[in-house]
Amino acid sequence: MILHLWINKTPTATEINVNENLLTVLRRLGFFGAKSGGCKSGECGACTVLFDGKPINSCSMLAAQADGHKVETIEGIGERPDQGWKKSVGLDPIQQAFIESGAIQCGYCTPAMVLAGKSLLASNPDPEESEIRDAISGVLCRCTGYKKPVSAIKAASMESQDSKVIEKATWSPEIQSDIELNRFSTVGKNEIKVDAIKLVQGKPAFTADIDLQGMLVAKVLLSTVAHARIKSINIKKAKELAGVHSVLTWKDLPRVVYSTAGQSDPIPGPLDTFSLDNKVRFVGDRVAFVAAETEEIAQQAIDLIEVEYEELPAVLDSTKSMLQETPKIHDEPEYINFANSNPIKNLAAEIRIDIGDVDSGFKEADKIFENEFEVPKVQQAHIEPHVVITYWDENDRLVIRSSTQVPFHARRILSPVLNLTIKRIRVIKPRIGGGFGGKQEILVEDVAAHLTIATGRPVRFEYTREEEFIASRSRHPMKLWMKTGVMADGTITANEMRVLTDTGAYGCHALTVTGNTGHKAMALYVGDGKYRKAPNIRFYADVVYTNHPPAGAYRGYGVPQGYWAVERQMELIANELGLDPIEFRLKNALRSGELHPFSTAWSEGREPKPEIIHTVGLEKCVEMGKKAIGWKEKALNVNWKNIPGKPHLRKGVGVAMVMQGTAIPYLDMGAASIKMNDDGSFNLLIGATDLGTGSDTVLGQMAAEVLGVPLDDILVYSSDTDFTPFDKGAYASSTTYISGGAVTKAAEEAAAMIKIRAAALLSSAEEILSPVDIVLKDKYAIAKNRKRISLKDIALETLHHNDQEQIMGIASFMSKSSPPPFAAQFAEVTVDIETGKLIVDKLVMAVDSGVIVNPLTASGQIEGGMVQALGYAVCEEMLYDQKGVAREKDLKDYHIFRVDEMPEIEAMFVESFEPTHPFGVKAVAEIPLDGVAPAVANAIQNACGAKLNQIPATPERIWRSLKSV
Amino acid sequence: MILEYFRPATLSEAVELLQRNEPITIPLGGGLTLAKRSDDIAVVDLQSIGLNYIKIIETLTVIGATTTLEEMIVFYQDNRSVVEAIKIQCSKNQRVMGTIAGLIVSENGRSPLLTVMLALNAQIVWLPGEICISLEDWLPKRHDWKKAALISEIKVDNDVQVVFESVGRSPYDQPTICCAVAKWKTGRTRITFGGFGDNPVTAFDGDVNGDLITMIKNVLADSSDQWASSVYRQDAGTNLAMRLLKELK
Repeated sequence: MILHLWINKTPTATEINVNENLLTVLRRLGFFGAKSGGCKSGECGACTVLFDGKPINSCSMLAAQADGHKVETIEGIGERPDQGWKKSVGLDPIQQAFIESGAIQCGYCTPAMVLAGKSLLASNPDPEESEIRDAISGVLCRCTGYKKPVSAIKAASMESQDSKVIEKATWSPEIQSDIELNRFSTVGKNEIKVDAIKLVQGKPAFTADIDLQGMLVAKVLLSTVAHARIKSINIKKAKELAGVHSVLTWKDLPRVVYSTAGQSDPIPGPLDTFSLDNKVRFVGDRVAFVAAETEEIAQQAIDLIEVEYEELPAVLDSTKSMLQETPKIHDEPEYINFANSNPIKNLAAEIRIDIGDVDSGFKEADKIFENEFEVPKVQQAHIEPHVVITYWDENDRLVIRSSTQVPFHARRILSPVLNLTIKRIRVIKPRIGGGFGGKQEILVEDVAAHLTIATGRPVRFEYTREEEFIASRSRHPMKLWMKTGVMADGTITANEMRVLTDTGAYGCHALTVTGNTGHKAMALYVGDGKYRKAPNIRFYADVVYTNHPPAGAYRGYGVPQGYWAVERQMELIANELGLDPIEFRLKNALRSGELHPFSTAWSEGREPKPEIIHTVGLEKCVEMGKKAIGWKEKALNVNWKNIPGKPHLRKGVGVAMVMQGTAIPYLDMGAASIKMNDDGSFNLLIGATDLGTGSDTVLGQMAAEVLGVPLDDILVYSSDTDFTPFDKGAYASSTTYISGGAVTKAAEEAAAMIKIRAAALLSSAEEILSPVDIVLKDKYAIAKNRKRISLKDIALETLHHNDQEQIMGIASFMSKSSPPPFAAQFAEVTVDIETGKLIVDKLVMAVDSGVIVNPLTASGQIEGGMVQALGYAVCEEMLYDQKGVAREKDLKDYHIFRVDEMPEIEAMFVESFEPTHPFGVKAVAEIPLDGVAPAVANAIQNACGAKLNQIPATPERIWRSLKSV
Repeated sequence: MILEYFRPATLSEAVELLQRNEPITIPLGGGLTLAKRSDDIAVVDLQSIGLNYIKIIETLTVIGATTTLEEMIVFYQDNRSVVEAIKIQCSKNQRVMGTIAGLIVSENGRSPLLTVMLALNAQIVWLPGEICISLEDWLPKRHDWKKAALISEIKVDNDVQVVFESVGRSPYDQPTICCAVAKWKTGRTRITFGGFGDNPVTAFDGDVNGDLITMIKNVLADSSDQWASSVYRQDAGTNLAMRLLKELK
């Protein structure tokens, strides 16, 4: 039919299929600001457009329903103010507020939020906060924690400048700092994100925002059984379907074993995966690939493939995986072990770490505490699904445009899988709509690449939301057992953790995730007195295969699992011994100048080397957090805990203390190159991958600081394996530290060249200047005699006038340290003791992340991370039935927090200067995931005595615990 | 797959289209549940037939079938329980699109709003034939319902108070257990539970006397599913119901 509608006030007529939804049609017409969240039922709201002025989900509305209506997309809202000679209407006040407030992280949901906010303000120019939250409740955001977007809309609604100033004052977090940062011009400032203006306009910045001529759509046939051999596959009917260009099964592809884990070479884990295999190992495993003209045809072809399985007994209980009689999940001869992996025992990884003399430590204790804990499998749930586009370029090189956190690892890992040399593969990473570790996996790239090789055509492959749940990766579920020896005065004499990890069907990240469970969580409490210098710590783990979907990398990388057990254990001990839970923790916690206890014992499967921890701001974090949560007034106050008129409710507060790491020492490397342009601006090329965190911005700030220019003069580009230098990618909380180190060094090289030229240009017969006499500031090279020359003039001189050369710098950075950030996390809750219903009222997190390069983006990381962690604490969980079929397949059953049900959240910083980095930074991205769950559970215990050993803290679990008290 | 799309201008035209069997022809309200259909169908878009209204007619509130859940929130803005049930049911965008009739035909026992509507003893009017049937009587028959093709409106008594509470993993999560209690001026009281099963269930309807707790426990006895146990639901449900009854007093 011909669809007639007004799009952004322009009458439009276009031919559609009645089966098409509005989102598909809008994107075909080039309105890429409406995003796909992988569903057709409006679960996430990324596809929001205004329909006759009201926000609707364009994925779940038929295009035909819009006939005769007005549709408004983000493209109709505002423009960049500076358009050369053309006059522009400029950005909408909401867009401007989103930019200035730090409300944009990955930016994938930003157009939807802006539109929903605009719709609200059109009918309600002065909304209350609750009305704003209600108005944008249809848009899920996994990055921001919603605090800044709500505040941005509030600020945009305010007419009074005084009110705006007050609202804007809330955007920057509280920072307690003894560091003299005034010497910096850009570092430490609330610079707006370098990608904010394009993201707020919904520009086609993401992987799928491109339409190539002749592009095919890929679909994958997924296994419906948990464990089986494929006896036969009949693809005849599928191949014969009109519009189908390729159907691939395991028989068509080279049999190359690899790991999907996007990690450095050699992969620290077993190689146990094939693009397609003759065996399936979980419900959702791959069986066949199809490329067709349209998504509908591809799906029809998938439905026409006939598969005969020889079903094998499924291993769905991790406690039975290693039993001799249990079926072997990996019996393929190509399997390649790493370290102690052993497919005969269904063992993907084994860790045995003993520090000190643990058994003696237990003998020296006055009391031993033993408890068991459990954590669930949970999903990253980035709003942009996994998506890739592949095509041959004019040089017959395979281009992979992918939403990946690890473009360089992807290229290296895919090379043998595709039988292409590395030099014939180019990986381009556009903006990423959230990753959280889920895109540290080579999960979709090979599918599209194989099909491009098969057909010669461009191919797009994008997971549906259901596929994200059943065929993607997740956080490893674990069963944890703890034993702690404690003296009567609260000194920990020995601490032991044993872990059983379910890695699912494949061992991607098996060793390293679980290794970090011990390496980070068991490192914090070393004990006091003589135990500080000689702590007794044991960490043993078995990581076993099952026929569940594979686990993988997820923000926090094993550490949240560990801290659930450690911080509950500390609370239970303090409670039983009658000790103040905060004093008990601080008495035993690591302090500045002490050795990281695990640094002599384990390093992600590589040789460990001792590391001193230089900065620990934990005590200050505790003080800040206590004040913000009102610990003194609440923790032991019975009057506060009981609510008048609500005898079934109890209130409580809880605390958890945590540490993370910053990159992987002696391994992680990032590089950067900088070149100067004719106008004194600079191109900064980095292999680092900004997955929404704002890393492009903070790296740009470091370069700007060194080069003495505003951030606006640094054009940041990331990343493209052809053009940007190597970077290991966005994981392990490393980018600000590692890639930032590289950027700083590269900028210093360029700065050195500038200073040489400036010294020469500013010298005179009377005074010969040295480069060391020059400082770069405010776009000038300034000599100590106050003579100065603009960087633009230096650029023109060096590029065009005399002794021509390109001012540039290129450098890499690898660290021998992994300086841990520290944090204190607090929660306030209300528990319904009759039903177990839990309301989390407030979360507070005070963090020592070294120098805060950009308070807006850093606090955004903490706020968003806390909310992800809140889901882990109370509502997120992936369960399977007796046949291995997932319970959660959408964002309705798998509930992530909506904006209108959020607790109050507060992020704050204690600044320290980490001496191993030129700008004194430590990591910030992962640590907020670590302590929310135990802080919430400790608050529940404080409120009503319920002692939870398992998350999420569902009403029934709380109710059962209360019944047992 | 949708093979045909119709947008009739009149109710009678819509009803005629919906009586076709080849292909299966279904009404289209907001479209929220359309994605769940994988079979070949035709859809009849109801946006132009004038069924989006809420009227008070004597002792009844009459809600047109295509009234959106957002319009219901506006109408019921002073009724905290109905508003809360709708907000738990869906977010703003879904409320703008979703219709009350769409909710009734597509939602299951986990639906908070359906639980409230059941407590209110909502009556459904079907076309053709103006067949009026209570939600209570229709829900068990809905998978085999062939007597009529289209809901035209829903009727709810005005002289009734309703209170509602939901227990989920977060404030706006789907309920694990939820309870609605409606009380008429006559003293008639209906207690319904949702959060599980194909349909919400009625635990009690009448003048409050006798052993309510036993009745509640009986109705929740078989409520175990992958989200919660019946033992839990019996205990939590009883507490919710008693609390809500007290609130109504």
